[in-house]
Amino acid sequence: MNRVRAWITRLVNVLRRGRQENELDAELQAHLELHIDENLRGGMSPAEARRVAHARLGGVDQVKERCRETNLLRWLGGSWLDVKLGLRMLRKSWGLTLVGGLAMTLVIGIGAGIFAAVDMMVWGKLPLDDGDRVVAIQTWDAAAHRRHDTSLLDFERWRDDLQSVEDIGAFQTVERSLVTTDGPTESVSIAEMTASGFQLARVPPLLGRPLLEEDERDDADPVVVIGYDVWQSRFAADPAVVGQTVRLGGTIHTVVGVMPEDFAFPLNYRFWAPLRADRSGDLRDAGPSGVVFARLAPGVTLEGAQAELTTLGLLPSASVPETDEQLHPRAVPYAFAFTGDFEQGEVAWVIRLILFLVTLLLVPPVQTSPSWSTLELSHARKSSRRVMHWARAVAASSGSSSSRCSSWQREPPAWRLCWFARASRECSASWGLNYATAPHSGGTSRSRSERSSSPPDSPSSPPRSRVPCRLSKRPDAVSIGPR
Amino acid sequence: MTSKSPKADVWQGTLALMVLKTLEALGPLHGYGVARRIEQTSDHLLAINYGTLYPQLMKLEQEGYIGGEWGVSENGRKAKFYKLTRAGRRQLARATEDWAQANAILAKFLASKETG
Repeated sequence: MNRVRAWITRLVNVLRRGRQENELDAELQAHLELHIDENLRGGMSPAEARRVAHARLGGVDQVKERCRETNLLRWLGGSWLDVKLGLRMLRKSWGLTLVGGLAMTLVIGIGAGIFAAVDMMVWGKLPLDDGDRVVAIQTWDAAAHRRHDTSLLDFERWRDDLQSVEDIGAFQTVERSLVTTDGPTESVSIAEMTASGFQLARVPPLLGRPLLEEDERDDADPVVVIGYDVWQSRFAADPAVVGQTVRLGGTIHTVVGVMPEDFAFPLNYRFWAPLRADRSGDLRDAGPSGVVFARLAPGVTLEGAQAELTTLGLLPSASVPETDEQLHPRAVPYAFAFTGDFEQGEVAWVIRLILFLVTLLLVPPVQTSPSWSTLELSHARKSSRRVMHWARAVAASSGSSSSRCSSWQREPPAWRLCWFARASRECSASWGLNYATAPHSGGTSRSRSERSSSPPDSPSSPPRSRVPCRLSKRPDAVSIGPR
Repeated sequence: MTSKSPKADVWQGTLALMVLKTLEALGPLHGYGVARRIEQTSDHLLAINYGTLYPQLMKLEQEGYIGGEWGVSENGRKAKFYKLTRAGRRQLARATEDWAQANAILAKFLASKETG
């Protein structure tokens, strides 16, 4: 309790520093007068009495400084001075403040954005149930240092034999023109996906049912599961949409289900059709748009799954047998499958390189270029004398030490700009992350308007990149879609 | 001709104890009075550095062991009078006990050195 009271007392003393200074002055003056009176009574001359009293006290200013140092919170008072002086200088040099602050904000924001993106892509957890246990299985060409198409036979073998993963499935992207009874014809991206994708996502449909294994048979009727926004825009949120038909390309598909809003697994699609790949071929473009996915079995780590995959290996390639030794399967975190042809350890180095380049490009113009230095020197020369006078006056009136004045004199204006940058950094980084993580319009609002104006099946339609760019804020859905 | 021994400085850490004990013995007292009283009690063998007394008084006040009030001194001058608080009395008892214990230990140590 005493300690609490002591800290409160110190805080009060900081807040009432002026009054405390006055009291200290009066107290020391009283001490001197008492001592002088006693010296006079002892027979000293007035001058001698005064000299001895001052000598015994050791200097009023020094005693006052020692008294101030007893307050462990005295830095609070100094900080307030710092803030006041900093704000004043920022206001006086508002142009420099603006340019420097924005430049530093930009650099810091870019850095924060890169780290956030890396965190999302490489180490991020999908917003699915146990999303961190969802992995992608790829065929990796060690010699060419790139991903290789995964053969359907290998996929089926993994699905049948792998024990370390479950809900193993695959998807690939196809472009079809969408024709409905009302509404414009447009080109849409469709996820041709195994039914296991819905089992892995563990997100029930809003209406109807998800895809089933029976739908993957060649003789099964063509069916499609549509997204929430398609249901809203194309079917006017008709609750009886299940059973209605849409024409995708040249085939009539029956709508069997509607997925909830923001559901976007495996990517940000609006249509999901069963995967009926040619058993003699490969999963189309297994790199960016065709991916084998799975969920780690309970208790199995990514390394354990990789060990089993390595043991199982790949089937010999009939077409290019000489490449067999270069190819091997690898399991990676699901989001990592969309980062490009990287090994996992390489991504960190790539990011470091990007950060270095960003720093190289943006920081020097702000901090070390001749123009900046000239500007800073000019600013410092003009302002330092004014600042010093002001700071000394403030320090003297408030009893601050002279060391604070000298620290202000030494302090470059760039540090004051740093304060402004720190404040605005949070705003910019927050804005950047919100922008990056906002519900993406790759398959929804953006493309709706853009794709409506583009001709169906147009070869000039912008290709969809498969680089994952965001994770939905919704905990029940993943949105890894084109940027 | 007698040789007068030089005045000793106050041992480190003992000034607070002396201040508390002085205020307990004499009641409310201003800083100069405390210093003079300590010197008198030590038969002027201790030289109080007045410059260190006031920071110590301020520290004790912040810790709540003493309280200060403005009043008028014996020669009619305005001065700040310090008095011992309840927490200060407890602290004085603790510090006295600690000091006595330290003295006893040191005495034992010195005694064993002499006999050994």
